Amino acid sequence: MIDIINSTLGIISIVAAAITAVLAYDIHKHNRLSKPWFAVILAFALMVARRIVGLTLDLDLYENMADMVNLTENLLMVAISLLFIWGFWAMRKNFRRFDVVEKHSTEKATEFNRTKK
Amino acid sequence: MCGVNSRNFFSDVAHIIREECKERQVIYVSLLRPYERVMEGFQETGVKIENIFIVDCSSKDSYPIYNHENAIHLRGQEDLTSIGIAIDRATKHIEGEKTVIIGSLGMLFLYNDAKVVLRFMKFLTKKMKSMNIDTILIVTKDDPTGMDEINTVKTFCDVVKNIEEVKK
Repeated sequence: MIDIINSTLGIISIVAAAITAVLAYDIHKHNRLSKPWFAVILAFALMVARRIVGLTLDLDLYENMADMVNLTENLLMVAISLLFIWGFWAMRKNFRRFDVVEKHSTEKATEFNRTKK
Repeated sequence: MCGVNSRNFFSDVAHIIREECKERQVIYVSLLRPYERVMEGFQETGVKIENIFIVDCSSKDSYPIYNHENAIHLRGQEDLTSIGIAIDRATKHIEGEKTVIIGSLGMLFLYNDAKVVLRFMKFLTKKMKSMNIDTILIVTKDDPTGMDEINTVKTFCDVVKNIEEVKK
């Protein structure tokens, strides 16, 4: 029974991760943070792969290669984490820049008014 | 939208500022030339520079390397989000009647994806209309960059003129 539940949850998580990757790709059309956002899209795509590898472990599909499959899953997990770090770090930098531009533009516009008075 | 000649770019833009923006503050988004050259150009052509606030997208460096009281220096023509933010802040905080002038539009198409620029221009023109702020988009007539897309931008504009018509 637990095996069936595990397999079902595994399949649901693969579908959910795939939907997330598609949504992340769709968001790419609406933002201009292309490179860092591609890292996030790739990370979500790798999550699908990682879940598939995890499912093969759950289903004991490659029993004799369990160590190798486990290693692959861990490597994928590290890659996913690194891609997320790169993506979100770069996006944080962008959002900080927008904050600086907003603050600085407001200051300059106010200063412009003052010099005219 | 106003078509100007690239050879007389500054004198044409200066003419627009003098004729169309009397007694108004001008927010000039410079996509073609850096701050110093814009100010020199306007001074030479007799524009009242005290009424002009520059959103400079052409200087090599941005704030805090450049710091002028009538300008905000941005990273470049490809940074549409920052350009949008700077225009929004300037229009909201500069007092009195104002006009936004963007010159020249072709540069945005040179540095950005055409679809993104079209979306940006549609958003910007709509927003300026809702705030009752005149926006003049300068297009260099002899520059072929993004001409197809510029024809699409024309559909967002209430009036399309050539500099010769403005000068009449």
